Amino acid sequence: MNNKIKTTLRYLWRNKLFTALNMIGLSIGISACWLVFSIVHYELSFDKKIPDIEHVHQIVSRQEFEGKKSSFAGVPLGMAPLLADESLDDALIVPIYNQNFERLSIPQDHEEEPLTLDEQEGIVGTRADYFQLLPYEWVAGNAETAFFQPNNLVLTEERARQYFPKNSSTELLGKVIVADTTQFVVSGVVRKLSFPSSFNAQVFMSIPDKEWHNQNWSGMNSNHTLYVKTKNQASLKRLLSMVIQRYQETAAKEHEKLGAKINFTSSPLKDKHFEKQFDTEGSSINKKVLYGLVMIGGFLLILACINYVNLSTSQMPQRAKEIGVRKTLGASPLYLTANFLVETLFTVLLALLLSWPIVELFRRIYPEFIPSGMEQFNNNWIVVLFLFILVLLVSLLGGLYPSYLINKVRSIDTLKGKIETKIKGTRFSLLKALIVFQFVIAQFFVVGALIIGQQLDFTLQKDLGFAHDAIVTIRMPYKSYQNADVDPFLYKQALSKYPEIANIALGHEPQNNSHWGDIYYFAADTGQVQLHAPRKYVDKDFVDLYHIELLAGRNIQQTDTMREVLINESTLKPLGISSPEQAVGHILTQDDNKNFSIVGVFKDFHQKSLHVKIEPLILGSSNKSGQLQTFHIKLPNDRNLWTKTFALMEKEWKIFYPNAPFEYKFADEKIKTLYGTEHRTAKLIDLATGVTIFISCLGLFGLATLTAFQRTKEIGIRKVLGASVSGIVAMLSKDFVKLVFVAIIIASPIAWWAMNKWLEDFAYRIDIEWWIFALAGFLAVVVALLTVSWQAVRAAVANPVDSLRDE
Amino acid sequence: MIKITNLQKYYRTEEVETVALNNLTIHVKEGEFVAVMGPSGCGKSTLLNIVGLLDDLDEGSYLFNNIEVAKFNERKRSDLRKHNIGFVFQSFNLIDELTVFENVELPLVYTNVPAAERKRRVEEVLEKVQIMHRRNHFPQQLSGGQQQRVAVARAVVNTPKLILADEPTGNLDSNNGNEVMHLLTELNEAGTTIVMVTHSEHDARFADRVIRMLDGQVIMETTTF
Repeated sequence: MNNKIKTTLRYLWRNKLFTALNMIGLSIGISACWLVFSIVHYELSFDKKIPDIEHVHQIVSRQEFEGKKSSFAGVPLGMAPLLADESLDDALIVPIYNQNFERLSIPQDHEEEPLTLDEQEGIVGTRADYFQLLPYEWVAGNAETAFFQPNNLVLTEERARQYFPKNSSTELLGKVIVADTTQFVVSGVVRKLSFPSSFNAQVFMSIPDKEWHNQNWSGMNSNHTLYVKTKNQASLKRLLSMVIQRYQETAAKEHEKLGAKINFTSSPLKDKHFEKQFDTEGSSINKKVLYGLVMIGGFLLILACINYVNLSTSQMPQRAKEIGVRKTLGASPLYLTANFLVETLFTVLLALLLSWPIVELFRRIYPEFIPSGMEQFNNNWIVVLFLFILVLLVSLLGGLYPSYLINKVRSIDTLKGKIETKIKGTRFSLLKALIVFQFVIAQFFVVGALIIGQQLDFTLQKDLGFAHDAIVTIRMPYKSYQNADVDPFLYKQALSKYPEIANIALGHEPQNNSHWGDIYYFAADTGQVQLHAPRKYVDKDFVDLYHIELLAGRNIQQTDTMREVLINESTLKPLGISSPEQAVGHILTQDDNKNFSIVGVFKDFHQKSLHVKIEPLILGSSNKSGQLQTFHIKLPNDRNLWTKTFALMEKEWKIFYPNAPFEYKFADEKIKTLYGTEHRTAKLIDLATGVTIFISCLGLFGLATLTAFQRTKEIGIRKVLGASVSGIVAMLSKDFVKLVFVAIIIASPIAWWAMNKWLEDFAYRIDIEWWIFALAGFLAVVVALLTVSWQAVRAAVANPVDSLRDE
Repeated sequence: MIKITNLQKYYRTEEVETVALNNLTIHVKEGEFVAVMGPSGCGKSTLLNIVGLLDDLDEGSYLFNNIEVAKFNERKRSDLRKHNIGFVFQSFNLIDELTVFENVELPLVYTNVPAAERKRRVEEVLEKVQIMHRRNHFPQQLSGGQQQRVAVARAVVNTPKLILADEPTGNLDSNNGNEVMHLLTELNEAGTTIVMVTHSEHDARFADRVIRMLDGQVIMETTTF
């Protein structure tokens, strides 16, 4: 055994280049599987450790509205008390209601300043049943006394440390936490659940009375969810029928009038993590995504194994002599197979070592593709076990075929200096097909990466119809303790006096999803027209600051209530007006008989991402901070003045809003965030492009090596007869370029079709032009030539005397 | 020891069938040193491969130590081979990745000889061929003559009854060639049967008997004294 290991290492070291190529190729496949396994294992372990999970159900609603069916996890407030009052012995009723507080104030020991924390997430109201449903470990207090008093509150250890940094968890019973105006007393501390779970709340309290005694059945909200645990199917049925009956008696008629049909049903908790429609935490995942990941991992692993087989096989003629000698001296087939498998195992282990940094690197560079909670629940033993099995599997997959070939080698042929032609012949077409296949994929990704990159450039460079350069936005404070009631125009006035501030306006951002929606009526020549249009509130400087072009009429005047509006060009058509000038002076009416006069028409700008067409838009004036929402500040053209300008802005901010953070964002950056998904896709496609090109090159390299070896004699004869080195390199390379061309021809239409599909999501998009395919093809050919040329040149410059003497 | 009777061997390609050995009968007695000579392509290497159980025969009988081996399968042939036959090749056929010691050790590994015993026997045989001082070198670090001495050492380490040598001096200069021939003669005098294929009349003189072949047939046998 020792001898085997030593010779294996010696062999691998002697063939450094191939060992390295094999290692890198395999490490890509192993890394992919490693990552995929970690992710899939994490996602599949969600909630699995909840005791008797098969008996836990979430109460959900199935809705039908205007012919569209949907499902929803929010329940009416009236439901939980109804079921709790029934007090079935064999059922746990667990409502979970999210609680929002603007500010927590937490008195500390020893006359220290109280700790204040804003907008804490993860606070829920529930019942004591909650702690029977979930297996929490109690550090202080217990499940029975947790909600003994109505103002009791339970913390996770993590929150306990955050809220009371100076105290240990066991000292916290009886400590006070003030949430806005209500005082709570800590009655227990629990450890966080030790497994990934859909239940991520950190602070637990009784449900406030005003929610618990609310008998509303018409409104449903994702903040209010309800779970039932019962081993008795009949009990579950009974509870559901109670719910349905009560709903029919109360809100059903009202909903039907609005055209909505609602039915309540149960959904098993064990499926919750994979049901996006019931996800109120944003942690669910589609099972198809997991299947997709498994496929990608498996695919990369198979490609890597095939490459290993290719590269090993391409080395086979060079090894034939060694194998022949061993066979002559009496090595059994089993021994040779074991020998090669050990060699493969070593290569795979080296690849595994290499995949460690690759996996870490991926986690650093692409954190957005790693589920956010995964690091907390890393189960190293499972991963190690998986990698152990993976290593054995890859060694077998990669090693068996070459071992078979080794055993096929006839010793007498190799000893006579003849190379087993069978090895080369039968595998050649398979090898070629594989190379074409690999290049088709690589080509597809190259085209995809180019087009996605182009479209993303287009989204940033396209004239959006408004200027967005050197503009920063600041969200107006909206919390009571942040002086939200201060008139925003005071801050505006204060800034206006500085010459550094080129302009300042108030209002909705020009390009995002926030707006008021409304129905307007318009008396057209053909009768009354109904207009659905979003409305953005702005002040009088908005149009000027964003360089929005007025086509007719004038800008709005600043008024206390909205009287005048501006409409965009796209509004003209639904109103039946043919030119901007004609629109000016007309009146839009609302349901409650409010009239707005159209004072101007502005040129269309993109109020949403380029995914959607420009639609009607109304700009109306307001002076309320709740409606205007955002400050827009145009910075001076001279960038050197920006630091000073920001300092001025902050100085004034502190005067009006001392309790609110001064945070500004560049309009350009915000526009970019509209295409977050696309940027993520681009990142992934770029990676896929790199990986597939690399893997393709490995395959090509193997083929080139084999070819160069197979044609050694031919090259020798050609050189003796006068062929030049460049001529031979060209001859050898030509065949490979042909393969790449075939790949280009196959890949181009597929890529064209797929990218067209992708671009269809954009209402405004680039045209796919022929040169993209030409460029991608050119790149592939260049990469292929670079890969092949090394072997081709080596074969071409070899001394023909050596190659011919072999015979 | 070797009794080959009416041996037929064909080589087939898709279109033609070539007769490599035609109705050949050869007997070799234990302890004999036989040289096989003949022009290129006369079938002498094929014969050697069949004698060495590396290749199979199409017709005829082959008795090795009175056992009919013509119909042996690969496993049985391999078994018989590794215990009874040693090989010396023109191109040495040493394994580049193994040291001198490891190359010589290889046949013992395949016959499951314990490690301590292997060490003793390898060192003994390396002393005998006077290459002990090079035991940890790799084949490329040796001269051709030294490599062939290692190859001979490897062939005899298992104390085979029969050594088959295929032009053992073909790649060597005359000094080194003579050295190897003396080695083989010594082995023969110690009782090992040797069958050697050669082009060299000089080398053939070391043998007890010379078999001359042409076109797959034996045309003459001479005894040398």
